[in-house]
Amino acid sequence: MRGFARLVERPARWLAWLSALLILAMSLWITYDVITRNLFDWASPWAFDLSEYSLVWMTFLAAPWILLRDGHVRVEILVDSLGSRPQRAIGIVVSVVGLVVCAILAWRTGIAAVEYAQNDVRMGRIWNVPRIYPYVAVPFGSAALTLAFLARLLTYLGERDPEAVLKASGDRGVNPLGGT
Amino acid sequence: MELDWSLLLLIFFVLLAVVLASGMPVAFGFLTLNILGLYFFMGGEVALSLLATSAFSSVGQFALIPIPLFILMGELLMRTGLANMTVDAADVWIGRLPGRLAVSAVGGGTLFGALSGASMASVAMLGSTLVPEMTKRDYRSEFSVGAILAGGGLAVLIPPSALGVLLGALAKVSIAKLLLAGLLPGLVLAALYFAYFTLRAKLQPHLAPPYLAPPMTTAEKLWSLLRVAPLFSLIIVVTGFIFMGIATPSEAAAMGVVATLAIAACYRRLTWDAVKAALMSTTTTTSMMLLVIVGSAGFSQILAATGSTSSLVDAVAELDLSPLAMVIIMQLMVLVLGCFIDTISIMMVSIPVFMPLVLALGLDPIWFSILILVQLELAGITPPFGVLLFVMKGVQSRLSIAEIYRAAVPIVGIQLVLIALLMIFPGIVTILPEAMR
Repeated sequence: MRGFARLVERPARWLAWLSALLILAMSLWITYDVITRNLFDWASPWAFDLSEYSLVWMTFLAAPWILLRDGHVRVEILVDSLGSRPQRAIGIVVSVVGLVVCAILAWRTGIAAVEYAQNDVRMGRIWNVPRIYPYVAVPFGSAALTLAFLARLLTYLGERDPEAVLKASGDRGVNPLGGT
Repeated sequence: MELDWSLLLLIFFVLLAVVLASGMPVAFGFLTLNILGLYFFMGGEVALSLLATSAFSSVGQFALIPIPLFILMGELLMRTGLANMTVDAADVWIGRLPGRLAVSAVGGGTLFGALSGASMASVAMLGSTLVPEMTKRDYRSEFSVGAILAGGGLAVLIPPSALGVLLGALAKVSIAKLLLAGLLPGLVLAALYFAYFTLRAKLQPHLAPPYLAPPMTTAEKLWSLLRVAPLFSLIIVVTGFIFMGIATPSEAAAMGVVATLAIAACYRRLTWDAVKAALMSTTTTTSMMLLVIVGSAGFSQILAATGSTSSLVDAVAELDLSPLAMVIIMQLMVLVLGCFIDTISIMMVSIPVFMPLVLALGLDPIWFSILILVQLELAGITPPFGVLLFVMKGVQSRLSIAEIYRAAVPIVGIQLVLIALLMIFPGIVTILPEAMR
């Protein structure tokens, strides 16, 4: 992997790392809530709202990194049985479609995010935070996914054996801290 | 645009097949169809704003919170080496049974399944610990690999189960009840495996040559049990608390993670490297699963809004088939899908279609969900695309994929026997959730 893919890899890795820490933190604050509620009758209504929002964040923060490492589940067996030319052609089409689809998602959710921010839309829960806080993960992650698909497209256009490059990046593992 | 619902469903499934076969990551394949469906069948560009809502609400759901936490529990147990202790303990108690290492895999898989919710972690753990030992003892690969696939897959049924949580959220049934409903079928399946492996090793000793395990005194056996006793507290914290109604599945899962960290620390096995590796693996699996949900979130909405769901229910009602025949047809559909697409994708396409039918037929949705869960476990080991087969290939790269396929066949057969049992004796599924407080 080189050039553009290398450029986006580092920030994507840090986002995935944040996502991982969020899961650990989530288990801690839910446990804190259970214990304080049962032992001291001291409820933390934010705990479950925050957990729901964190699911959105962790999904979209880690997704671009996983795509760069070819870690998203896909059915490879048919493509693998083809020759290198049709493989490249399909890879280019798939990357363009993925890029367009993620761009549409970023665009539509981006519009919604701006509206939420302008109109100060709130979550309407006990922990009534502005909706933009949890929501912005979606357009942000989708935009990052668009860039990750662009990197994938460039790999298919520029590499001699793009499938091997993608497989190698997958073999390196999806652990953002290196190793597998 | 007015289109006949059956044509619409046909178009959808043909497009889905094309997109998946192209090697596009399934999450984005679903998203593509979702956008096309919204645009062409739900009112053009305006309908795309539905995407803005569904992308957020599909994963920002209370019911999904246990998924990353159950997976993290399993990963932590595996990476800290605590999971191996369950296999060791099972091994000590098995004694001189024929095919004892295969039985250890089933026993270890049952215990690990009861401690965690991730079948991939379970297969990876059992595969990397037991296969080398089995090879040393001249076990044939079709026997040893079969045992690992069998033992590892048990984690899908035995609570806690990450896949069970996802299924419950999609089917809109009580997650707590669904998790508990999987316990007895999981144990029955373990018993079937146990019978199969011991019988086969006795009848065909060349598959698993008998050997004398080092003799153990009763004191040694008790000590081996005592050594893993703290791990059993995890079963109480997670499954026990859910059963007693003390904690919701999300709360039980979070406490399970904290308890696992505490126990690993007590055993002096909690290293930063293990935690990092477990976290990263969890993030990857979770984000991948949840992104598929984001991608396919619009599917059930589109089906409902175009009238496909209600038309399908009406059409099936007109067929005048018995509920049992319908259940068998739905099971067969999942079985066929399982040969081609991954577990989560199967759920995303089948549950929105099946659940309205199940309710219309007056069937128990929990019972049906467990049948589907067994089918999904089956999908994980059905050639050619079962994900557990590839995990197995990953941890034992010297085995050819054909050898792994051959090993999977009898396990598939046993799971079909379980499905038949659950259909004949539905009480195996329903008794625990009905007893729940």
